[in-house]
Amino acid sequence: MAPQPSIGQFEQLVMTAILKCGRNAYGVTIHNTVEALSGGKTVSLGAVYATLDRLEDKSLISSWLADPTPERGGRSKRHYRLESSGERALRESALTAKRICAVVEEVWGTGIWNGKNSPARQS
Amino acid sequence: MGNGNMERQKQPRPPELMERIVRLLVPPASREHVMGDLSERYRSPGQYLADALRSLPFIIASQARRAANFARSAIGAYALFVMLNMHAADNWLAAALPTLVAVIALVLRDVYRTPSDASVATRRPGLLAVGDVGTVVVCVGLSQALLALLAPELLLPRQVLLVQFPIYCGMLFLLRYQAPGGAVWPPAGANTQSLTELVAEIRGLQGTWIRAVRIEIAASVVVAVVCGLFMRATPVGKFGGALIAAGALFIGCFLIRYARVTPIPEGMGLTETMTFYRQLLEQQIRRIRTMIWWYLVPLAPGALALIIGGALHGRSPTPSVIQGLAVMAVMGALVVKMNNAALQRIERRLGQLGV
Repeated sequence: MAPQPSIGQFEQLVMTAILKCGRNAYGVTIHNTVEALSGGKTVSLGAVYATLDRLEDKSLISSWLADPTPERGGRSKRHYRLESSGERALRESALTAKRICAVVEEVWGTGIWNGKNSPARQS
Repeated sequence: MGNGNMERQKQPRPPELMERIVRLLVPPASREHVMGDLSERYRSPGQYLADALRSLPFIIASQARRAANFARSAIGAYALFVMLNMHAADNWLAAALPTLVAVIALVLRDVYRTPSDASVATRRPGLLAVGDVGTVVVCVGLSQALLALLAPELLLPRQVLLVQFPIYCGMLFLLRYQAPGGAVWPPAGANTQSLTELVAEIRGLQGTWIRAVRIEIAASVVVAVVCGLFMRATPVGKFGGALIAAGALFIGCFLIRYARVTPIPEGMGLTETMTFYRQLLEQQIRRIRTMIWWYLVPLAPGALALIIGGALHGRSPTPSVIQGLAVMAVMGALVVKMNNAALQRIERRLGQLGV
């Protein structure tokens, strides 16, 4: 099997958004989902497009132009979906994140998720 | 259903003039879906404009990364800078400014290439190459006109504009004719092509490769002849020139012997055509992977001899040798990078064909 291409944090967010949006994964919905996954932080639409292009060039996702719709001024949506290599890469990233969460919980306690336990070193 | 139609008619639309300006700025490869997304998100003219202006730099940069080859642009920029700087060694800025303008012009030309240009590239690459050269000439001319008003001390000498610059334009024409810029390959949705589309793609690629090989063979003959003229210079120059001529002739013979392209047979079905295409791409991968040995290594000894020979006749040999070796290493690395990018694209296409 070919070596798995590495994916950065923002790429993971975009791929997770594609997974969540399912059949309705296109620019606007992916961007809205990425913003939600980022905890409400403002995310540039252009950054999402650039990341989608990069993921497509890595063959982790694929895209196609759908039929035009009147609410978009008669323009088509470009839909995206995860390829099998993208699913493997995202699964691997999710497992790594899970292992990180387990260690963080072990050291800082489960309160970290509610902001109760400060991660500052205690004397 | 009638209510749905009324709802759609009530959907706010951006002002037509603003939409037209944004449409011109968005690269054609992304235009359809980006304009649609911006239209769907429209709330007010200010919001629409802010959305578009914040997105455009990313979209243009992404298209530049896909369509404009960084290594090729860097090699072209270096060649242009060296040619323009030939008679202005102390005033390197006079050569750097038009070089920067030319590189930006070519990159933007690749970014804003329309799909119809991509098909012209396979059918009439000479026409596109003339357009590329014309763009560079116009942009450099405008930059010189601007400098004449604002900073005349940075103007290029007339000899450079009349001799070196046209030589560069000739080289640029050959490079762009050999490998037209701007085409994003493999195309999106390539794994759902019909047999006709697949055959057209194969013929287009074969045409590009045949053209590239012919230009390389012609260039190897020209290099061999020109280096023969060095044989009238210093002994080391003669030796270096002879080595380069031998290396160039080796490359030409190698290409004649091993770079033949088999035309696609008529009447094949989809499965046979895909098998044929896979074999073609695998053959190209083998050629690119061994490129260092049959393209760079034959030229290296002659280039080294010329660097050392030139340095020995100069005032400060050691810095000249180091500079020459550094340039040689960087150029070699850029050529390898350029071919690695081609290799990745071919391997991706193979993956789409289901290897």
